[in-house]
Amino acid sequence: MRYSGLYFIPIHGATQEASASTLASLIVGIESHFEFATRQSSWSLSHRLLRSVPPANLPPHAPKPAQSFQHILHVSYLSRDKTYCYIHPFTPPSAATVAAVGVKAETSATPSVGIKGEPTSQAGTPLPIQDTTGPTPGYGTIIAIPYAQSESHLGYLGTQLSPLWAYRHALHIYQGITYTAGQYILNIGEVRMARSGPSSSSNLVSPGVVVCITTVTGGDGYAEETDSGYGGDTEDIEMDIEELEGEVRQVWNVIKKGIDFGKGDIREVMMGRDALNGETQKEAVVRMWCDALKLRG
Amino acid sequence: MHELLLYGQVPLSRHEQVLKVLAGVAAMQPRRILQRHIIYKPDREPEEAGLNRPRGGTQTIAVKQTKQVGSKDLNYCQLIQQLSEDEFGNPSKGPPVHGGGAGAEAKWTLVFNDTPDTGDRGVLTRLSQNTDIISGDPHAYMVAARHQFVSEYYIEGHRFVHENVVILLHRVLHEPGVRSLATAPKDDLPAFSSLQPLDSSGGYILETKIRVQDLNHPAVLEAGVSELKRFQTQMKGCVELSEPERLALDTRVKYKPQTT
Repeated sequence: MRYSGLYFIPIHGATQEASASTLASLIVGIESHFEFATRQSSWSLSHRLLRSVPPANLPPHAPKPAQSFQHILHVSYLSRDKTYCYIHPFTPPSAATVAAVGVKAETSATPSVGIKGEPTSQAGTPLPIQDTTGPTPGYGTIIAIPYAQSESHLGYLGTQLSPLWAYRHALHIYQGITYTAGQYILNIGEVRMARSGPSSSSNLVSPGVVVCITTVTGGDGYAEETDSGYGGDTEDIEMDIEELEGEVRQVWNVIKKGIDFGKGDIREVMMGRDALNGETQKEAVVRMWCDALKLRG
Repeated sequence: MHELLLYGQVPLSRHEQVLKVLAGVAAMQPRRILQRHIIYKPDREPEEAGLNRPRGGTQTIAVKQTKQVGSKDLNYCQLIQQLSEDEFGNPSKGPPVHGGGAGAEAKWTLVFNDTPDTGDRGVLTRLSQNTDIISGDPHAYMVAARHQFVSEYYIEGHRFVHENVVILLHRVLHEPGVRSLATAPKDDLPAFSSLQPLDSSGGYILETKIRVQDLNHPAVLEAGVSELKRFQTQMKGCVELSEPERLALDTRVKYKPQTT
């Protein structure tokens, strides 16, 4: 059984040079603090975000309908041949929250996916959206579609369903780096955002770097029956979520020791309680990534 | 992806004969097809056509007119579930609508068919988008994607493949009785024997289809049209295949003016 936590490090100015420098520092940190860290095969990620479009003919004083985000996510180490479509409602941040600089992301009252910010200095980079409504266990809807049909499905959402869904951004991680260090798996990568168009690879900026720390627990550690290690039988494994999250944070504290990440709040997102159910572990990973990759700006 | 289509009608009395002819032409045994089609429409009403265009004259200073973008049509779409006969009327065996399962073959497909294009090629042409749902709750996804349930029906028939032509000899079945108040598809499938043909004569529809990835390649398009027309000629005397009225396959949600 695997439990993961994710850290999103915003890059000031979103320049590729700054992002590459941060990535290099993290690699040095991992290789120096984890003596037996072994580099594994690379991984990739593709994330497209769409937002629901409110009806155009709403009366002026009518209450605004609830809005939703739709994520189209492919993570190669989670599943090579599946893309996940995740839809969930969200509450737009209040004006006070938007105006504040260096805002902490507050943990919601009953979190399944824990979202925390690490206060450093004032943030000058795109802020993550303050999702005040959750997520909670089983929050939103997730389906899986064949990876080969991702682009055509996205085209359908963006054209035929354009009155309902508006495209927001596309994020990619190319050639992400994977380390195994004992019972931990470390996936790091630079996030690249295309400035225009859903699949444009020109004029890329790099809003941040992600570090995903996975701790493997129970039995022989790896659930061989799945292609990612998630979703194995968890019935005989006694798990303490807080203990697992503590382990992940410990590893992160070791990795980031001595590294100056500059301005910006580092965002922490954990798998949450869905990790306890073997069948929904993959969904918990999908929610974790989607929550981390919601950017603002 | 685009589809090139021709349709024909087969009365019930000739169904077995046509099935044998098609088996001979396609050189294969017919493959039994049972499907459940669940229709959805967007959860908002379409705008009145032409509402966003300026009406009448104006006395303003002439300025460069920006292109008026028309309102985008809203279309019906479908979830199609592949079924077998023993899944009907058997709650323990039937795949639930609220759970796609994780089988090797996707049981659910999200299908969007656009209104056929205008044109004079002799075959119907339309944009079609199919997305297989491997796991998850298809109905919950459709609702979350801003759609609402409309109705459901069943298809039973046989499929053949002859070179690039996909041939479907089928008829539409439905559960008699009014279900206008239903807001979700049924959790349990009815017994197959309780379904009745939508066409009370029991007649079948012969759908012949060629899929073309991209219409921007004229040579590929022409090849597809020619092949479909050759099949049309081949079937003359057995089933008359023709191009139906394109608006009979119109999937747009119609604007309904508000009554006061």
